[in-house]
Amino acid sequence: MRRFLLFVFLFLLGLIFIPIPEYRELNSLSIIYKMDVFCEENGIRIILTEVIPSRGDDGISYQYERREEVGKDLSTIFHNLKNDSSKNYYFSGVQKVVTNCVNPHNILSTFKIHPKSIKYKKN
Amino acid sequence: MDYLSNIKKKLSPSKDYIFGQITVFDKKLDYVYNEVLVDTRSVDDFVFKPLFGLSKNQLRHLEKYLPDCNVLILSKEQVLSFIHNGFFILFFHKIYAIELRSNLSRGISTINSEMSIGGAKDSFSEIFNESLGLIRRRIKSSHLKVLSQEIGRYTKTKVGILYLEGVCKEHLPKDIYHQLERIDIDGILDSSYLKNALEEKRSLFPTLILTERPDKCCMALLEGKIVILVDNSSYAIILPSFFFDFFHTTDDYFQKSIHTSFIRFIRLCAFFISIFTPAFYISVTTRNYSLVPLPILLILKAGRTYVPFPAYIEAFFMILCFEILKESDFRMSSTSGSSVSILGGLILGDAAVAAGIVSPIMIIIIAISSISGLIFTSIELVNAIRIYKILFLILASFFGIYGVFIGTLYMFYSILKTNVFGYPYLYFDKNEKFDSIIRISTNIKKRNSKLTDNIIRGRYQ
Repeated sequence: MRRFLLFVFLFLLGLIFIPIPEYRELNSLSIIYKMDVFCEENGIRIILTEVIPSRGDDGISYQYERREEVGKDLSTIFHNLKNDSSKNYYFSGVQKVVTNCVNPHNILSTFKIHPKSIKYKKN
Repeated sequence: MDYLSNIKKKLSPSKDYIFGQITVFDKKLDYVYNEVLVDTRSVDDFVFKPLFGLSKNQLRHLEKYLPDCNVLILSKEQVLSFIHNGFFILFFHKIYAIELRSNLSRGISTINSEMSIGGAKDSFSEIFNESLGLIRRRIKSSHLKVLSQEIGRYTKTKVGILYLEGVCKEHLPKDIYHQLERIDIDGILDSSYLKNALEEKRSLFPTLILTERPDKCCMALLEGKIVILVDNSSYAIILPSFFFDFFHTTDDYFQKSIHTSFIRFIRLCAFFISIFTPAFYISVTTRNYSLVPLPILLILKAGRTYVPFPAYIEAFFMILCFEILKESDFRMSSTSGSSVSILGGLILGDAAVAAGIVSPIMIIIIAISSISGLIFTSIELVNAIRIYKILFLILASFFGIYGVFIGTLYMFYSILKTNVFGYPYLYFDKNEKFDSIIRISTNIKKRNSKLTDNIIRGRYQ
């Protein structure tokens, strides 16, 4: 019994050091596929492309939905998106980033993403 | 005959006990037997007919003329026990017990639960002597010893501890004998009743094997293990049994080593798939999405498009449905059992998905997990897998992959700390390194050094 309690204690101790990801059902997850990030004079404009898969009689089909977010800087936009209670954004799946910003690595580190392609687009 | 009336009183009001008296040359001979346990035709042919043919002088030396190979002279205290063992009891100066058991056996039938491609197909029966005979037929040696005892205040069930002298460690059969001696219970109806006394209680994993295969028992005896036979049970107990013994089958020794190694590896994979698949699925669909690549995540999401329940409820529902289906399939006869399987399969497989109650991927996950669990013949191992599967599912629902990881550590810890009669449960012996998970044919066959001092089994020249 003492060993079992020790095991439970170590388990709970581990919870302090290892963050458990928040419980979110896959249905409610907004998987972002593509991000367009535009650095403008008065702030930053981001266009998120969400991919929505659905199961039908002919297999799986994909729909895309766009959402635009404007903010003073990247971290403000990131926090706004994270705190949006209507959507659970999942950025780890971002495959493409299109940007006109000089330092695209700032985008990657803020959103913690590893896209397959980053395209630079002039205004 | 006060004594006889005393027996009559003890056995009344049961009508299957026959009390009677015959007169031969003015001498009255009393007898008693149970008409269910004794073959009455044999009583007529082998007792009554010869008795009436005896001369007066021959009657004085009755034991010489009783026509049966098993005639015993009893004390008064033994009479009841012999009546219940199918003996015909005759009272004339002495008490004679004549073995005339009726044949209540269903005979030696084929194996039902541990199917094999090759090898013998006979299985143990409920009659102790028949089961013992199946082992003696295979091991024709005086080194095969049987320690017998009766357990159960009312059932007086015969229990035999079998071991190979010179192979098995000496203390082991004695330890088991004393352990069984301590059982004080009203009755033993099956070998599994002894599990409580012999099994490691703190471990969820089984520490003894129940088998209906005589060839498997003989293999165990030759390895230096103990086999316990119980009267009225068609299952023998093999002990001590270690973790990897549950991954072995008799078929393994009838095939080429490479095929055996492959199949054992498949069994090991099935063990892990069965325990971890539902928990891993719940983790990646509710907490740890980043563990799966995007294309797979999209497929998983598409599968859950119309499902209104949380993933863990869906998983529990499916496991519950499968367990109900399995249980009903076990209990039903083979004809109605197949209808239950088809009906259950259709409802769970197609209609539930069409109705949007469960996702198709969840059906695949639970089906893979459950079928993998059924690869093992030991029902105890299947039960342990089921418990760990549900435990990991709960941990995955609350803590994601971290919970599964901690649960895995606990499972290995509990396996590692388990001891079977003083031997470690998860033990790789250097002599058996070529016959644990992988099997490599060697010229010299060896035994487990923990189980025996007689290491060398033999050589292939």
